[in-house]
Amino acid sequence: MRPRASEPATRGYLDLAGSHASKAGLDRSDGVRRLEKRSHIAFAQVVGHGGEKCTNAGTAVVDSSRLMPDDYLALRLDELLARVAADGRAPGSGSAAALTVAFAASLVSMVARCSQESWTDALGVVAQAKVISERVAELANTDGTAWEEALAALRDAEAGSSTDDRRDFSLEQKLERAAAVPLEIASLGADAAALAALTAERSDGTYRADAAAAAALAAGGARAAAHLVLVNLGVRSDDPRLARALASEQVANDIAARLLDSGR
Amino acid sequence: MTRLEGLSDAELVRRCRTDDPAAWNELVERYSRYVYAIAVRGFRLGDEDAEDVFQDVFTRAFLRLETLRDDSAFRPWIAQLTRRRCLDFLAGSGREVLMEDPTTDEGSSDLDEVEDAFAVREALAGLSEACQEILDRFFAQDQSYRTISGELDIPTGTIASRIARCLSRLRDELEGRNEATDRSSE
Repeated sequence: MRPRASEPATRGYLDLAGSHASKAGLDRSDGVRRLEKRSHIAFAQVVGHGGEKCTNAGTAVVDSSRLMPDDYLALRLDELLARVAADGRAPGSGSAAALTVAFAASLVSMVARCSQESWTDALGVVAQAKVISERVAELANTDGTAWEEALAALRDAEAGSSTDDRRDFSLEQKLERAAAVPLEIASLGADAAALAALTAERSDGTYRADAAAAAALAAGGARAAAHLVLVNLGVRSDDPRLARALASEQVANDIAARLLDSGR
Repeated sequence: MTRLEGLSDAELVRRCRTDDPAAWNELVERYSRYVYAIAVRGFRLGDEDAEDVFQDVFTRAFLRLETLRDDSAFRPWIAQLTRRRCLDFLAGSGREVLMEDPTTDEGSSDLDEVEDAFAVREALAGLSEACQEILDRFFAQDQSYRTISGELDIPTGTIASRIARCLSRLRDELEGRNEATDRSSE
């Protein structure tokens, strides 16, 4: 039988351990999540693999048996493009905007990685770009799901009674979710553009054009996403969510314009 | 920061041996998430089972503290206690123990990831409060540069460079720790 917190001589200490167990229970999920995420501080990027030479890492092999039905990230590029071009279903413009921002962040990563000999903090930029790329790429999947759910809800609403409050509430929730995803994509587009600006300023001159191109892509993704926020919400121009999306678009556009102009 | 947070594990263990409950409190606080992460991430235990392992590991650690030969080795010692207890638990529950060191498809061990995460967490504690805050906001709380800028009252255009600088410092901290570990194992 294992000892419990009942032996008199040890009760004080073990009660203390118990209280910490409870405390850990309260914030356990958050704690483990943070531990995991902190290991994500692109630990390998900062300490290990970040030191790789600026070379092509090769082609990834995809195990198609592990694909989720809508896991666009695991599709081959030609398959993904065919899915986008196909009739009706996701992925649509939101996923395309997300992937455009992901490309931008990956380009920033490449430029920073190739500049690490002359730029002490380059790997810190690689780590941030990796995080932005991962977050926004995941949103490509999320957007597809949200968009399809919103479409289905719209069809239900059109087919049913307009006085069905529950259905209206559900539709409203789904439309809001369909707008929340591009709002986040726009925000990450602004971050990718900001990172491109820093990279253009500090990187090896050979790669500055790539940093400017990254900013242009980020701005394009942010602009498309902000447009989707407007359309999906069907909101008035003073809605704070739309204002946030437009602010992200503006930041990314300004950076892209500045970097592109300076290279001409 | 409490007065004990800055103390090494070895110093805390030494104080525990002189019946200092605050030192034990600090050790439990320092390693509670670590033990729990090994049980959940490394051995895929559910919440209730992980809780049992957690209680048992700290009980055993307390009762057997005198057997710890190297006071500075508390972390590997409690990791070993946790792994053994998890294996005992799985064996006792009749569940199949698939592997002692669960490995992901990519070839890296989940337990290694827990170790990495904990090493990063320890290294973070060696950074300035400002660096800890900005890294936590960007990497753990998923905040955008704009949000960080607004909440910390820092110009948006400087957030990325500050994070990059803090990551360089974090790398230095980690490399310093690795060198110290290498030296102590020679």
